[in-house]
Amino acid sequence: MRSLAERHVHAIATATRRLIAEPLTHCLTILVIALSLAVPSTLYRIISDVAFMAKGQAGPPAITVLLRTTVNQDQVIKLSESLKHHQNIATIDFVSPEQGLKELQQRLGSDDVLAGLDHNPLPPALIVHASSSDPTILLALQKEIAASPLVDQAKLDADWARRLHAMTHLLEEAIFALALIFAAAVVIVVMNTVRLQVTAAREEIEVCKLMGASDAFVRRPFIYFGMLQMLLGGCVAFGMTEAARLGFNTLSTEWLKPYGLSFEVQPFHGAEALIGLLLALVLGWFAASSAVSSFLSRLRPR
Amino acid sequence: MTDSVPMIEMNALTRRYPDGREALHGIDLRIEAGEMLFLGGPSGAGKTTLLRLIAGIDRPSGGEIKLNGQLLNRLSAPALEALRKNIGMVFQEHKLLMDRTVEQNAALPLQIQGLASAETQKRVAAALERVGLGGRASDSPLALSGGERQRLCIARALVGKPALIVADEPTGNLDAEYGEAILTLFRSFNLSGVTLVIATHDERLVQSLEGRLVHLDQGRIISDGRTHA
Ligand SMILES: Nc1ncnc2c1ncn2[C@@H]1O[C@H](COP(=O)(O)OP(=O)(O)O)[C@@H](O)[C@H]1O
Ligand SMILES: [Mg+2]
Repeated sequence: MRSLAERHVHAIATATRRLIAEPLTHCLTILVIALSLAVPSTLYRIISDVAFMAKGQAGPPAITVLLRTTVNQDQVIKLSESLKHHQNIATIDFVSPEQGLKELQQRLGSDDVLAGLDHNPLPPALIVHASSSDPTILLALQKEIAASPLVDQAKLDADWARRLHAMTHLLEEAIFALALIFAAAVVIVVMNTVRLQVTAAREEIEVCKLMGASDAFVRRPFIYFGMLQMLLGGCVAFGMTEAARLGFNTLSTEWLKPYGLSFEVQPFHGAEALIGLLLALVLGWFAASSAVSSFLSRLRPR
Repeated sequence: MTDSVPMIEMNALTRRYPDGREALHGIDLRIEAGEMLFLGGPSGAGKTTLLRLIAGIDRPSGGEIKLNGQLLNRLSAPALEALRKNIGMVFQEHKLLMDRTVEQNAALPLQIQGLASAETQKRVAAALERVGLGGRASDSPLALSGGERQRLCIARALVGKPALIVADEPTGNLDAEYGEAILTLFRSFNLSGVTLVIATHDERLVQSLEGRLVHLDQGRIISDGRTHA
């Protein structure tokens, strides 16, 4: 008797034969599959690297806490001690009115900022560095700090970083939705080609069933056919993503160089590529088996 | 009553097609192992319908049908597949695959059974030799005459070494001379122990052979006797 492995090898051989029997048709199908896989993965790759870079440029988000001028040294120490243990706070810097004045003078390049004033009007301040860049956590933290009676104002810095974060998050969700749509398209494309294959082989399937072939026996070569298309589509898609990535990097280097900046999209690493390929194979399996099953159910005895 | 289990047993067997037409009305029939049974009757009598029930292709609408004591009415899919693997079927409409060679057509049942390819080749060659197609192995069935195609169908039914062969109009459109040659072939299988159920609308043709003749008309058994030979 043939072993299970031999039967699978036989099924793969049959699937391959069907695939190369109509090279042009199947090349086009594979191209469509490849595009559907490549578009969302390229976008994902670029967006996630842009988001990563943006986070790095923005630095850890900080909240500037202006204390009331009436607050004394002891109260400040007590407040910063209590904030230090907050789970969403990484570090706290104290800025005294004198230090604040110095920084202000430096920034303005002038020594007589206080001309006409008889005392330093700046309040003592705390710079609170949050441990998370999640906007909801930052806003909650800001509110919490502002609620203290010692605090006059708590301002969230790096507003642009927060917006960028929100925007990349939104883009990531949009890409996910896009990926779902493309996945559905891939399933439909594969289902359709397999359905055509099944229709072309309907006599053969019927004869095999009449001679006692199991559904698995009939289904196997078609499933390999669908998965083979996906495998080839996935490989072509990988090539497309790489080409797009290299093209993007060349352009971004050209554009950013004058500003002394550089940004490169990284390639997919092995695990990511493998997961992507497995996912494509699962889609191929699903599409092919559902295309065959609907035909097989019509051949059951009534 | 014999106490031995007959190979095929039908009790009040009816078959109604999904469109509501009843093709068999209460068939009672026992077929013993080793029999050569001809199923006669005009076109539309229900011969094909009966053969399809025996091979588990269709399900009965009423009554029961047993093969070697096993009730076929509600067989599970795997049991049905095992059953079909053990029956050689010759179809009225041949059901040959025209995009495959003679050899590949004959090998199909063995591939389905999962036989190793060396053994498959040996058995296919023997079966083709037996039906007189030894020299046509790599031809397309399209290149075969009507009688040769019929013999290819028989080789395909034979190759799995089934205990039961069911043939639907195997002499169908053949000239009498070819028809007789086919029947002689079946007779030789029967002599080597294979049980045969052969449907034919041409009862004159079968009279030359020794066997049992069950005459069907409008879904009922009209007579059950021996051929004149
Ligand atoms: N698939 C089908 N659907 C509906 N009626 C059918 C079908 N097959 C056969 N019949 C009807 O059942 C009756 C018996 O047909 P069949 O078994 O093919 O007869 P035979 O093989 O003796 O010529 C006929 O009246 C035929 O019209
Ligand atoms: Mg018929």
